[in-house]
Amino acid sequence: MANYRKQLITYFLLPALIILFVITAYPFAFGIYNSFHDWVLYKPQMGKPFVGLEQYIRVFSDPYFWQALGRSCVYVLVGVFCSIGLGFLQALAMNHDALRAKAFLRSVLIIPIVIAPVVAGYAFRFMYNTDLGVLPWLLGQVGVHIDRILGDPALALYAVIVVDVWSQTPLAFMVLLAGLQGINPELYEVAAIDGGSPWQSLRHITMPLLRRSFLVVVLVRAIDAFKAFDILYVMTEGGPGRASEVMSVYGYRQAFDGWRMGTASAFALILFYMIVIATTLFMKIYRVEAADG
Amino acid sequence: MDSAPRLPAHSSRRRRQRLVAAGLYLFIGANLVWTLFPVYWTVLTSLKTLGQMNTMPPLFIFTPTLENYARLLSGTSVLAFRNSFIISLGAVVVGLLVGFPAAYALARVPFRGRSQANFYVLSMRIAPVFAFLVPYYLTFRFLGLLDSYWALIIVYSTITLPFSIWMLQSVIADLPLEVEEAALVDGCSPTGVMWRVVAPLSAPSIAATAILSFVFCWNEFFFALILTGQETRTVPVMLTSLIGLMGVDWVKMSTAGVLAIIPTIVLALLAQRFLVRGLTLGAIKG
Repeated sequence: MANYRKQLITYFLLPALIILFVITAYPFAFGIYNSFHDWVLYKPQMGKPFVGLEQYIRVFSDPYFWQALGRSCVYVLVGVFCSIGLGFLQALAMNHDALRAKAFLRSVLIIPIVIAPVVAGYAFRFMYNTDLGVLPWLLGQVGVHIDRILGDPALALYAVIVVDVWSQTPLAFMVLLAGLQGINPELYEVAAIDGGSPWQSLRHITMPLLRRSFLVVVLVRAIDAFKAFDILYVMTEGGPGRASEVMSVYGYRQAFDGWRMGTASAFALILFYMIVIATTLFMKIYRVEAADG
Repeated sequence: MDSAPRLPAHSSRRRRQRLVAAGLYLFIGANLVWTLFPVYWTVLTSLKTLGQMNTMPPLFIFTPTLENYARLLSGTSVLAFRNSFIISLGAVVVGLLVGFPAAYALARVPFRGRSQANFYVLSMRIAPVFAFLVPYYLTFRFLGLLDSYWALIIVYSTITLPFSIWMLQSVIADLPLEVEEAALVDGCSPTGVMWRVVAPLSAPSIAATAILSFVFCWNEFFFALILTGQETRTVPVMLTSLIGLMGVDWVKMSTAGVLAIIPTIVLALLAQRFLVRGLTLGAIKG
């Protein structure tokens, strides 16, 4: 058996770990190296001098960075709250005994999560269109007249969050429904016999038992929302102006509009550590364990 | 008259139940509209002529045409579908071929550093694409691999490989050990055990892992936007190229969009049972 184990580790696990290490640690290390150098792609004559922490200072002293961080926070808070709220209501409804055709309804409700965010973004962009869009027309029918949706700096970010919520609600719905289905129905029967109201059952049975499901879904959703790029890029490219420029779009503009590889690398690492620190704190505070699946 | 108060009480409970059921269906109905309308509208637009799309108020009822599909499928855009297919399939194959043996080892052998290995695999889910994008761009630019299939297959392996390891590990760990031990005692090599015993037993999970990996790669946009060129651009990148300076041909966009989402919807419904586990990377078994 000892020999068998050794064989498994050497021939089965090691190659995978080496490949994984090369394709992930190498770019990561290269990024760290770049973040300490000044490297502007359209100025090859400049070379890439070592500049110490200058790139980090440049990012941190850029007011647009802080604005993008603020917008990302709005994007995360509003998007995560709305998608989990709606997904929870859907899960509660789908878990109710009075409902029929559950398997079919579940299959339909999860469709948005597998639709490419790019396609979802363009579908909504067309629906939002001032001249041809179905949404301004529908709103006009009920007496609300909106000139521009994505072109309005006050609305653009929220209009994009709507699409994020549309696309990601199924994740919250599926996780919370799985959680609800794992609760022993006898608990509710006992509560009903003892004269508890449905509201009390929800508060004192459902919510505590769904704690883990909620924590997982908040974590996964928040990480994804903080990294969000696709929908924003195809709907507004961060605009109008910078009205919907969140973190990833800010970084994209640094890297591929300004071709500042050093600054973009420093930014990428800052983004990475923000997510790692926030995730670790969250897991410590709420005692979620990563590897107990 | 004794029984009189009981009857209304009984029927009021029935009425209440009916009210709850009605409210439920109303709520679910509203959610179906919210979920399906964008898809419905995209499909509808793809069946219109340019003139039918270009109206205000928007047309709900019209004579549909399939011509947009015929035109798209005979045009150059179809190349993007081929590229997406090749690249996604390539990354899925790499993920499974390398990941399955690793998952088997992780599930069966307790060793020092196992939880660190696990954590490393998991941290790929946390890392922002952006942290890898610039280094990969610079490396592939240096190696002349930009606009090649290899660039994206390698990059997408950073998604499919950790995903395959993580998904299959928890599945294999749940398999009974006896059959494997019997096979080992009979002189079967670890490779033989893996292919002849473990692989068949976990076949449904392998299929689901392949399907979900494929969907992730098919839908990926950020890497593809930077690392592909004219020859290798994938479907999401092709969609962005339909945005012209003079405006957008929304009919063509919708047609391409429908073709882009049909495979993922079909595949995801096939692997629906594994979707929760896959999307939360095993944190929820679903």
